[in-house]
Amino acid sequence: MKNLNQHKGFSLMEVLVSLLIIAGSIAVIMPNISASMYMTSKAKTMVTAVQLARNLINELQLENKISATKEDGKFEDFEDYSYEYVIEKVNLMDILPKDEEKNNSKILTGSKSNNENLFSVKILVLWNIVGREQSYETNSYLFAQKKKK
Amino acid sequence: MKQTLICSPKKRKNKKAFTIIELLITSLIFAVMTQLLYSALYTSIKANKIVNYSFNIPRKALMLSKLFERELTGIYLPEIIPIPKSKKGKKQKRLSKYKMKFGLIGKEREIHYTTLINLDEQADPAIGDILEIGYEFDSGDKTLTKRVDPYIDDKLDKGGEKRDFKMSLESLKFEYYGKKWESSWNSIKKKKLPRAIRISFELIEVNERDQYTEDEIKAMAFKHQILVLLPNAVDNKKT
Repeated sequence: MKNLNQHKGFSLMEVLVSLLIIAGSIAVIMPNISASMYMTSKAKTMVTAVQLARNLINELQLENKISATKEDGKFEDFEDYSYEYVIEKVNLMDILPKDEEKNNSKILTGSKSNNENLFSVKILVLWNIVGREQSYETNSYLFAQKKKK
Repeated sequence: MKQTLICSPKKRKNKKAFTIIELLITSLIFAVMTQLLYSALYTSIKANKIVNYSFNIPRKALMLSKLFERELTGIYLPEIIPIPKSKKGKKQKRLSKYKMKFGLIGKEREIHYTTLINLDEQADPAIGDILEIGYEFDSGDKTLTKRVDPYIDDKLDKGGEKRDFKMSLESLKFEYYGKKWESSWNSIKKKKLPRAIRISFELIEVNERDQYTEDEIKAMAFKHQILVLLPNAVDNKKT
């Protein structure tokens, strides 16, 4: 028996311990894999969401819907994505940097008529990935077109 | 003495060998480990495929949408950028003699227009500034072909060199906005451009199409839509 113990080789305990280590490391790695999967699907849907927000801004401009309102709904061809937007009237004076008031008033004198039509548009795109809610928010300033008389 | 080396019962325990218990335990451990490793490996291989796919597809979609967007903003119509008149209106006469046609002819799956911008890796620098460009999508073969015609003639939707686009498109649809969304547009008949064009497409990257069912392919497709405002979209003219 003494000679047997002197032989080189793994004992059962050693194997068990190594198995435990392997299992532990797998347990650590697995959530990371699923996290990376989640991040990629988030990145993939983000591309769509950003494009949809841009399309919505273009559509508002195209259909001349720019007036102080609040609306929400779903995208026509993309049913998984919904949107909310808030359009508010803004004063150009409030947006321009305040420490250059002299220059600002010069800019404004030439565009008084435009200043009346300036609106801020806040767009929020909402969607879900495996039950978790995602959102993308963007802001833009738009001039409302004058309606033809 | 020589004999004891082989079959002496005392020394036999020194011989290297596995007992059945040892073998059983090893095989058990091996089985458990394989099961664990296989599931981990399988998931990671699958994850790698999905990650690769989800990374490539949106990039390609963005590339295609940028291409359309930039080429369409360079759309040329004499009303937008007037042709310079030479003395006694000679150029104007010459143009009407050759029946040049500018504008846009669009249907559900094809679009043809005169443009100042041609974003093409293989574009010939010797070709002039104004071109006829056409995109045609064949829904049977699922191929997108681009046509570049350096000569502007009376046939806006024909002529020029055709080239296949290496994009694995599943579907492609053009829509045109005048006062409402329409599925076709002819600026020569209507005498004006659409104010906006909506392009919806589905991209897909499948190497072995036969392995998947139709529904699976549809689920894997990356749907994208762009709305391009043309230069005349915002009408600031006072009437």
